[in-house]
Amino acid sequence: MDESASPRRMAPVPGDGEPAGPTAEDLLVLVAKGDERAFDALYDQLAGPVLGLVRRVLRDSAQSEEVTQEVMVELWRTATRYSPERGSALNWAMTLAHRRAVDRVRSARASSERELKATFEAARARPFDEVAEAVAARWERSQVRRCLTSLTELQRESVLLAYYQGYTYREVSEVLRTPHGTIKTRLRDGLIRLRDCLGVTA
Amino acid sequence: MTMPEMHTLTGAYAIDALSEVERAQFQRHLGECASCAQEVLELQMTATRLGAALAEDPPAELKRRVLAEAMATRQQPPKTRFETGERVKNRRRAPRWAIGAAAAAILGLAGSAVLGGIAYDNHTQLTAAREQAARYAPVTDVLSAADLRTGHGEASVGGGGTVMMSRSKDKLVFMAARLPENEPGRTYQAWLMFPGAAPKPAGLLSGGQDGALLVADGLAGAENFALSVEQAGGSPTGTPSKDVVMVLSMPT
Repeated sequence: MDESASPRRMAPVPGDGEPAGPTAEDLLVLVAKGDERAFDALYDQLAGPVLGLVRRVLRDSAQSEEVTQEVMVELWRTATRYSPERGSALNWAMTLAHRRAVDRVRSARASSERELKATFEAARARPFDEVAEAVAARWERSQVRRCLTSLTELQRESVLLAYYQGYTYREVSEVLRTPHGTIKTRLRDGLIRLRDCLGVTA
Repeated sequence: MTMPEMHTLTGAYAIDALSEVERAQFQRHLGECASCAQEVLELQMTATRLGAALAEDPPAELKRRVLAEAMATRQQPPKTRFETGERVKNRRRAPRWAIGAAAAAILGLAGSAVLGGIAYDNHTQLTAAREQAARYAPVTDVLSAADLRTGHGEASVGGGGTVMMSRSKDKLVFMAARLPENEPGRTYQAWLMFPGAAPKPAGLLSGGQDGALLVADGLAGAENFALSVEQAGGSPTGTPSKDVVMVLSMPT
């Protein structure tokens, strides 16, 4: 099992002495039975990563908090539907969070097609620099950063534009002026290379 | 789109980079491609690492709002899974009580429909009860099978239904529950899906009628049971349209 499947091992920085409480998966089992205290603890584990990701995609603070709230309440509402087949609880939450953020960004964007081109141009150079900036002392971040540098430039740009900006592969291909088919395969190749570098297994 | 082309979409799908139409197509493909599903999960877990690297401290106020809204939100009941009617072996995933409750609900439903009906001695009602009993005959037949398996699925359009099946009797009964009414000129069509082979039509069903039944046979090798929305009379091509609204996996 890799780190992301087991928050107990992933969450704390190695050696920071944080006590290992119940895992998010343990908590979800309790939440599925309506345990409000467990949900409180689950929130503490998941809300930070969820908000961070959603804010990266949406930028706007108020909207990011709204979506984070939606996602957390959805976890409460559907806790009975969680199964380990969906990966770790963190994976479940983040997959849902990304989907919700992207939905919101796309419905907003549909109304302002004209601005699209400008956004694309502005986005072009940004994503990797921002990640690099965001990288603080945390081990998880430096891991991710190190592995990102193992991707080709096109793989890295494709993955980051799609994931952090919420672009479809067609939009990514527009920004990078690269054919659709190439972007599709770069997204997959890039993620596979990252997976192998991070040691993710399901 | 061909299968190898489909497979290259795992990455784009995992990070929500497909259009809505492509997403629906790929989801249908996922139901038939176990290796794709595995890859998608791994790539989602990889993306999760990219996302988790951005973790920040949420404002305290947000927590208060989330907890307050959660406490005012009813939790969804668990989704029940395909299970045998016999004693269930210890499984780590499905909450066992949920399966028992579902089976009891199905038995109760069919039982009251058949036996409850016959209890009336009024002639008209007796006739009606007989008709109802005939209607439910395939249900009782499948329910009495030693290898009964049941499962409940939710349709993306709302509602869903329960599948009851017996491989020894080679019979599957699907009972619709709260499936929305179809648009004029449209119908639900059921399908049995086979790995590496064309889906087989398994009957038509109109929405908006609770307890609408559909009986199918020829289950050997089927991996999934699916519902799609088709033109009245069923898909003219003999294969499901892109509008697949429910997919349930059959037990192996």
